[in-house]
Amino acid sequence: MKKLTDIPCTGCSLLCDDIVIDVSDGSISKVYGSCSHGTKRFKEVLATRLLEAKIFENGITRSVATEDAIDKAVEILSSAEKVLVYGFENSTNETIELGLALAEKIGGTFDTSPSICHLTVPLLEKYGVRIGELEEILDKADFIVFWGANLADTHLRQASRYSVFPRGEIVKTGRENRIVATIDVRKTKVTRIAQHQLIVNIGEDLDLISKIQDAFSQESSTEDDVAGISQLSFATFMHDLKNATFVAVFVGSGVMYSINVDQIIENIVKLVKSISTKKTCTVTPLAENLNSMGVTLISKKKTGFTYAIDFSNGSPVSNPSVTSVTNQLLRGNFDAAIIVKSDIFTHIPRSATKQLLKIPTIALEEIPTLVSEFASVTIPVTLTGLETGGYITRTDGKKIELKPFLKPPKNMFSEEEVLRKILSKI
Amino acid sequence: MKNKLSTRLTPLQIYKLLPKTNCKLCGHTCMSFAIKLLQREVTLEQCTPLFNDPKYAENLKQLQELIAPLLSAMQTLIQIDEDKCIGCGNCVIACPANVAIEPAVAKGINPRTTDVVFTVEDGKIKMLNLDKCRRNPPHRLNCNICEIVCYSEAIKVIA
Repeated sequence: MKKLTDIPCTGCSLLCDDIVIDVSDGSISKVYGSCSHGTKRFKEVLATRLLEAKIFENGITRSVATEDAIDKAVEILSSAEKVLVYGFENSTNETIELGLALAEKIGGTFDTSPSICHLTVPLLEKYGVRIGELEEILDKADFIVFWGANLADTHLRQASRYSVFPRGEIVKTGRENRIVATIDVRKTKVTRIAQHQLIVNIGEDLDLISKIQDAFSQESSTEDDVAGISQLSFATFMHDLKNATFVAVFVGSGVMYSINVDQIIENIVKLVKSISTKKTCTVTPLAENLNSMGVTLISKKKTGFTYAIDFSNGSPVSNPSVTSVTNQLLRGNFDAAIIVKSDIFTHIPRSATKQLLKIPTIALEEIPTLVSEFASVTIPVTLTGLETGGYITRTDGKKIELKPFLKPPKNMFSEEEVLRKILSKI
Repeated sequence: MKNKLSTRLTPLQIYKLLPKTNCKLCGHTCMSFAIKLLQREVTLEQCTPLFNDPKYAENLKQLQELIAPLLSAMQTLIQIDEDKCIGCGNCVIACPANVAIEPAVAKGINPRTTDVVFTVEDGKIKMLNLDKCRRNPPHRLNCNICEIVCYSEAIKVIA
């Protein structure tokens, strides 16, 4: 038995790099330090993984060699007019670059699962607001806001590993020195660890943001309740906010469920900007999937856009109301799709799903999903973080190198290799 | 928080159901017996009138129900529900005893040694050295940090 230390976990976008793993005979016997999501990733993925490449043709599914499946995929992609290149939120940075290159080469549309990062990152650049690095927050943040983020369901170790509980350089006693506020539409598990539990009326986020802005800049206090929050709760929240030296705001995917999500995020970023004139204030989006941040940053760097990027006219164009995957599927624009480690059926509406089922699809998957079940060509790939390495971008934009520790099965390629092969053959 | 505290057992809750005669057959007064029962230094069976006199039958039934969680708790009077645990590690990092034993825990890193009070293993909390917990008798501190930081209410302080 071998004990491996400091393995980065690929369970979520936090990429906790302090995991200890006992490996014996190519299987994982114990995982120390990872949360239940990470443990599931390490222990269950090996048992449930896909092993055989499959082609679905004329109503029959047959198992084929990986090379043949790749050839079939190339055939589908070459003969298609317009291809959907979807997914990559669980892939390495290198694979994302290849995905963008593929979309550009075949004039397809590159899109990924919806994420808070897509909307936040361009605004941070626009308003010149700094993204909060987790290590810096650990050391310095004495006021932490979780906006629409239920860490107990999504990022389990966020509070214990990076923000609330650890003792930092400046915040020496950890939790005793930090004030935690949660802003959400309901009571969640994470409100248990917060001193300020602000429960906003549904749809009144913008009202709350403007009231915080006013109270912060004018030193005035409101006499009435604010967006369903009692005057007393709001006043104590503002009092602590004004006394803080380093404010870290985490924006979670809960904000995505608002109707006017763009406006809310823009106003949060503006609020952070105005707070940062008097004290340090950062904003960090909490990426939903392993590498949602990587997809966002890489596509932003390569094309200038963060999602729904259309290459059909040669140059990249993004207009989500026209080029997003759902809109294009509904209009029947695509005649083939390649989906890389993403369960697209859970991201798009039923009407769009019906359209997707009509066209040939290629799925690169680690584990069986609905996509691999319905795909015309299913290509199994090696497990990222366990069998293949590469870089993944953490939720705060820091690149983390993976440390693979298992040998992949024979005749199985990594997603990066498969995409490289497809790219070279098209 | 208020709700949490009210679920704890108190000596008065037990005292109310005892005979309250101070007969000292058990060697203590009834109030003292209630406190000692809560600390698990005596057992309910030592209060003989409670079992022998039929007029206390109802009280006895209630008492047995009341102290049932107490008897199943660990020596630190904490109950851990592993099914509810999600392995977030809040308790492991927040625990002052853990940090004192292994200083790296203060930075949010899961303990590497087995000297600490508890750790996270396979996505669940695992008790290693219960005797190092600050709640351990005889120097019992009324520490409940692990309970108040738990997301999923998996840790419960009984008394």
